[in-house]
Amino acid sequence: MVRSGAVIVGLVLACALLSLLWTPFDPLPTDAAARLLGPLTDGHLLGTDPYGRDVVSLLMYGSRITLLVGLAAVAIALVVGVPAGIGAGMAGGWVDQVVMRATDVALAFPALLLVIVFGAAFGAGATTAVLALGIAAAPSFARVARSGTLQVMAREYVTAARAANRGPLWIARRHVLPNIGGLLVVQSSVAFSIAVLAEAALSYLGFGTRPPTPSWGRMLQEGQSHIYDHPLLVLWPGCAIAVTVLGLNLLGDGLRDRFDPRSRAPEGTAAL
Amino acid sequence: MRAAAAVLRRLGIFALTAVLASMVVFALLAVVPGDPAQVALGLTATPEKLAAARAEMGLDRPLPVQYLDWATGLLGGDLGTSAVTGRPVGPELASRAWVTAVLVAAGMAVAVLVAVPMGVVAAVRRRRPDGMLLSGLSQVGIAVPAFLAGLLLITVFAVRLQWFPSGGWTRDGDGLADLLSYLVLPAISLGVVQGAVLARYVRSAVLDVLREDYLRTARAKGLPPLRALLRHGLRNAAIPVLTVGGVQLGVMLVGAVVVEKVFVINGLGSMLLEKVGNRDMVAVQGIVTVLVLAVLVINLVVDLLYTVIDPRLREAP
Amino acid sequence: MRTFGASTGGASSGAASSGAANTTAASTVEVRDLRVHAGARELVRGVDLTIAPGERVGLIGGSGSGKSLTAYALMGLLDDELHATGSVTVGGVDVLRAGERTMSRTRGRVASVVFQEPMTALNPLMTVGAQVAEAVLWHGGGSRAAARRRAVELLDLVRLPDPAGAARSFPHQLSGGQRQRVVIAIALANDPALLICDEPTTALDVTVQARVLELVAELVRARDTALLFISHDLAVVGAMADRVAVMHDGRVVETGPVREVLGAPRHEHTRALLAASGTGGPRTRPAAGVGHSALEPAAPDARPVFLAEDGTTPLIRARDLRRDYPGRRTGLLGRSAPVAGLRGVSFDIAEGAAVGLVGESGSGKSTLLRLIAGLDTATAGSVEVAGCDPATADRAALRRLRGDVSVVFQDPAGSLDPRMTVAQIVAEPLHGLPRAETADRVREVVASVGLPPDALERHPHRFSGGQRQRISIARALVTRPRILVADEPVSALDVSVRGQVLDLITDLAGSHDLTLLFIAHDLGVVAQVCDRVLVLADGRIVEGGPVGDVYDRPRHPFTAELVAATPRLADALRQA
Repeated sequence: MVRSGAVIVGLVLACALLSLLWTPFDPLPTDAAARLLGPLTDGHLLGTDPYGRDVVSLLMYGSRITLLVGLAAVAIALVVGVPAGIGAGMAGGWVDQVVMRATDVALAFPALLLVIVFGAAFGAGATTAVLALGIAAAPSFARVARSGTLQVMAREYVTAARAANRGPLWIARRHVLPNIGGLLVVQSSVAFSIAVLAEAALSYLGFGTRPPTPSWGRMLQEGQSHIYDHPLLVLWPGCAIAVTVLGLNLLGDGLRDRFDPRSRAPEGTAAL
Repeated sequence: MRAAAAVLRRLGIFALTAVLASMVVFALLAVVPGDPAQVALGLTATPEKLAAARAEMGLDRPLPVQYLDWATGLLGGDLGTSAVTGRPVGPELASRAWVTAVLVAAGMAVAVLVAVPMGVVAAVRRRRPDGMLLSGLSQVGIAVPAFLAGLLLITVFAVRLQWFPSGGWTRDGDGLADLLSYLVLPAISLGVVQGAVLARYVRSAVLDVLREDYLRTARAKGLPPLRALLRHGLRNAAIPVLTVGGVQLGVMLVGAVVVEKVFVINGLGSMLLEKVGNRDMVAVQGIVTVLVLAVLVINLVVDLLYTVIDPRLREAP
Repeated sequence: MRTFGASTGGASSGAASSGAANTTAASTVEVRDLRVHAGARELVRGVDLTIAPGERVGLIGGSGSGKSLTAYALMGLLDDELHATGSVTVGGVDVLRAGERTMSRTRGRVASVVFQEPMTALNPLMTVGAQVAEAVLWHGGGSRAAARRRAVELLDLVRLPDPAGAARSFPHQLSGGQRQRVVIAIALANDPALLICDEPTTALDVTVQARVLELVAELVRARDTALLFISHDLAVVGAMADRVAVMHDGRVVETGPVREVLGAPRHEHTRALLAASGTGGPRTRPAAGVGHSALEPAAPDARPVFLAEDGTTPLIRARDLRRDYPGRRTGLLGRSAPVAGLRGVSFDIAEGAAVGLVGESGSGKSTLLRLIAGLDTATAGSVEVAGCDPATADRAALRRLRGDVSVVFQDPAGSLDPRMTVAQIVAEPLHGLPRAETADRVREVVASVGLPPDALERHPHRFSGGQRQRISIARALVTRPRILVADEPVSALDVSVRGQVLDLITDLAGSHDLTLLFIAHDLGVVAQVCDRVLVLADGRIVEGGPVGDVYDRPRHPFTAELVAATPRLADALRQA
């Protein structure tokens, strides 16, 4: 599971990197003469869009946006959420209360709503979207980090470290972080796929990347008006999104099985 | 007694969170560049007229006062008056919210109907081909965004087969059958994907329960596997699933924005997009507040449901 | 003497199995050549076992010997992945070939089982009464109301105080011992011909264990129920069974009457188990909420117990030491009265002494450990360790103190960080030494606990339980401490390695001139390692003095109960 997920994500990554150097056609300029060509015509493997742009090139360029948005959002969520979560878990008391209440408030704003509000307040665009998606994901990271930290802090090796006169920073760095790393990797893959889906939805609504920068969600939106005559224009970006998210989920689930001892079958017997 | 204390404590946290969240909404939209008075009067307005309009809208007062004013109105159900249309926001919002509520309820029903059987079977038959197939299906289902599912459903069932309308909503005088015909495709596209997500949680919750000692005790009493799972397993498995279901209901409330756009439905989501588009900040503020409060109420209900299901939580922590 | 049914699958046991064929029809349990496979691995390798009606058979073995799998096979409850061959007949039912329909009529009616872990054996969302009633109803126990009444009777039978009230309560409102009584009530609800007990008391405190065992023995005797009692503890099995079978590595290696097998063991594995016995049972850590054993509160005896000789300065000196924990939340802001962990203890411990600290869960022994190691501060009173009071010490003094006091924890799986190498783990207590010197010290101490040099770069999961505890001991000794606190250091280990670890601790304490503070939940282990003992109950020291005096002439009723409750092989043999 980890492997097939990693292969899919790797392929998308390779596409994105390749698009920096080469795409079959220039994805940006429109060409009225070549609009809505079918697949395999004039060297266009998957045809062209309503503006005469090559679909393959657009997909490749779009993968760049998708990965960039996902990575940046996860990075923001990690930087904001993890220290807060570890701090809350280790300190307990009022620090914990403040962090938990803050996550309560933040979790009341679903990601999509936050992006739209940010878009309304600061203007729509990729930067606002990334910021909003990152902030929306941060509370889940804080909660995961906190509950992981609480588990680690209850272990005797932490007591042993304290008995060995090691302070909180040492314990956070040497014991807590390495032991909740697995959880964070899993959470990152989940947040990444949520961000990819959200970015697609936002571009579709017009709150993501701004024209003319192509993205998978915008391709879907532009294809929608031609859904009767050219349904493939919707299918291609749709498949690109679905496959990427599938890859991320497979990767995340596989990693979860690896890191979560409970998911390993117990020895001996089970009830059913 | 202890149970009452636990409920009170939860209500207290809810009230605190709601107040904080409303402050966040207010603050976010108060810092928006652009002057509501200008929006109302247009670019040709004179500075004197603008100042008068501001004073009339109460925009010349300090922010905390404005917040208190707005929040007091909120408690009385007054969401303010739009600077763009000059009409109160509340009535329009209420009629739109009703549409979205119906849509989300139908979507959730679809999600649960998909998730519970799928998750339970995938867990119980995890080593058999059909169980694995269901796991795989849910995995693929998660990866399909709701609006893509909507577009595909329209292509197949509205365009090709013409079983259902491709979009729109009921008008006055329509019957239940009409409502259902408009509701089917949007509810499925909203619910199937969330159902796939939920199914994975149902599966893992049931798998966890299957490993529990009390299920072994039930089997040792003589209960056959399925009966033991139904009697002892499902209520225990419901606890973690409920958490996810609550979160999902909140996600769907906002996710409906996209489905409403795909199916051209005049719900709360399309209203939000409209109002953002013509910079009607009072309306946006109202919609966001209603959505956020709805999410918080859902969380509260989920938490209270825990106390109903789990006797251990009836004692204050 | 009863029928000899059990014969060995592997090693021979001679004449024992000759009578088996004649008793087949009448036997409650008839197992022939039972094999259990997990894929290609064979976990149970040909077990034969016969239990006559009303006979009590003990099944002994270490972890992984296949004894629990044998029990599951008897109930037809093996996991899907496991495949059983051979023949198993229980009460006339061919278990391995019977369909689910037949088995669902057999389980709980013909044969019942009590599992090890009482804390998790009951459905947390259902009242205890409903769970007992379900067992009655399922096997056709009449109306719902009648089943409820029967459930209350059964709870009375297993001697739960206030059975009607208990029936209405949820599992989390009962203690571990009480929950195990409920499970026993469920198992006996339909008067089965066979009761299987799989380590039913290993998770319980010693005094609770004694009462539960007494109950089981009495009930099976009164109803003439056949008993298969599974345990790793020879003393417990000896007390419960007429006949024993010893399992090792999937086979029955020895079988016969209790007196013969335990009195004159023939197989080397039985001898190894015998040698290790008396070191207490492995206990899983009791979950929160356990702990009200029915003992009466200890007498308010606040007199200090002095274990130091007159005239010498004690190394550890505690005066009126008290530690309270915040009470439960009762409302929005309110809390109930604080819960006392320690209710004022005073004692002196002389340098070089080996002192045992004995108490059940909730007695305050772990609290005391935390106070001495400077991991917690007292609510009142004082403790002085090597001339330093952790509550008032400054940073430097605290650091010195933590170098002087080292702790070996109970569970080596939990006390070693799985993400660190052995070298990193052992080096953790060393601060500010040059890299080379740290490496030297680590290598030296790892060798002194008997681990190979190549252990240093490996992670803890690569080691067995006994070896992991050696790593933990190495970490404790690397600072060259004066005081070693060992918190139940062998109770999480398999019986076969306990002796070695105890010997290691004793040896090292001698060679390093350590003052040893040894915490345990029962008396057996302490007698092996310590010369003095303090008995803790309910946050107070109820008794203290030289080990022999306390054990032979206990003055406090709790100590007397503890001594009486500790299973002893000699007693078991005398009874048999």
